[in-house]
Amino acid sequence: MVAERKVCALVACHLVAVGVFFLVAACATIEGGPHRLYTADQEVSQARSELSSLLSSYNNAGAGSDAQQHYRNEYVARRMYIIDVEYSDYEAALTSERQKFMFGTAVAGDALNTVGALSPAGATARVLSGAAGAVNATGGYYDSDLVIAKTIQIVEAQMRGQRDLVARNILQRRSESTITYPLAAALSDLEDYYRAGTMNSGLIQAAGDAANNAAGAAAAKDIVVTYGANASTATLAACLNKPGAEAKLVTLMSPRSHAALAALAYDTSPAGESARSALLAKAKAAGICP
Amino acid sequence: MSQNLVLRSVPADKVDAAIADLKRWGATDVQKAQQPDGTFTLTATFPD
Repeated sequence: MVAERKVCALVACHLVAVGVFFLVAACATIEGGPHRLYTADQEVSQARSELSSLLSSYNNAGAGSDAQQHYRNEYVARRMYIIDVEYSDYEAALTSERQKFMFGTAVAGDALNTVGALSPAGATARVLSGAAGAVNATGGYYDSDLVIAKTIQIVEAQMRGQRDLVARNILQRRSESTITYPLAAALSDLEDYYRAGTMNSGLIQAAGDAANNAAGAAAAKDIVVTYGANASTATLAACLNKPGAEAKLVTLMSPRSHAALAALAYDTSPAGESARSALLAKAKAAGICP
Repeated sequence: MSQNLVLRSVPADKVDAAIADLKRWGATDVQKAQQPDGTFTLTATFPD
């Protein structure tokens, strides 16, 4: 009887420990940030209330005018702000969920094992040991939980990265007129911005990382030049058009690159002019070009 | 391995000549894309 009372006391003690977990779940490290001056709902409500007037101003402004560009930018900025506030809440909830999950599974397993070890042989102890065993038997689930928690962490990082990329694109296009970047196109980009902050997008992005890295490495090899034409480019083009000249000219390049050689036929930047002059001088010395 | 030459802002009336030149100079493939300003971006793939 006394033994059973002790077991009950231990059980109560550890139930308190588990209860503490739920209290801890509301602590600062779990909550993830300071309190807001205004709640997310208040912020969103305020920003949303100004959207319709901005849209009317955009529609009433002259097509392609500076005013219309201004209203488009204001409208887009407000929408981005709303998405940002909503995303902050979403991300905080995801992080909190992940942290609580990992902490909770560890505490529950430890508490049950401790009770089992301290209890004398008896029904209660067996039940507790059984419970602990059951918890540990679900170690596979815990492992899965860990994978899920880590996946959420990766997805969060992916979502942030994706959002930054889309935001950069939108911010870069703010300087364009409403002729080349109308509100409809901006709305489409805003949809991309929203979707970049979704779990689905983060997962897809994480899965596609390897392919993107490979593509990125390939893109880094690309030579990008702006089309230009002058007497010097015409001279090189004429030389390149001579039968067999291209193969000889490329041997004068360092590194030997057909793409870089072709680029020199259009590149009128100072660096391009300099490289072309040097190449033409070598080609003349080698008797390839006149 | 191959390497791309991305030629930006090619005037519309120069596109055909540029594509012909790039192919003559060894490009295995040339793609063109019209830009909002009416010019074209050519992407030529060269074997390396």
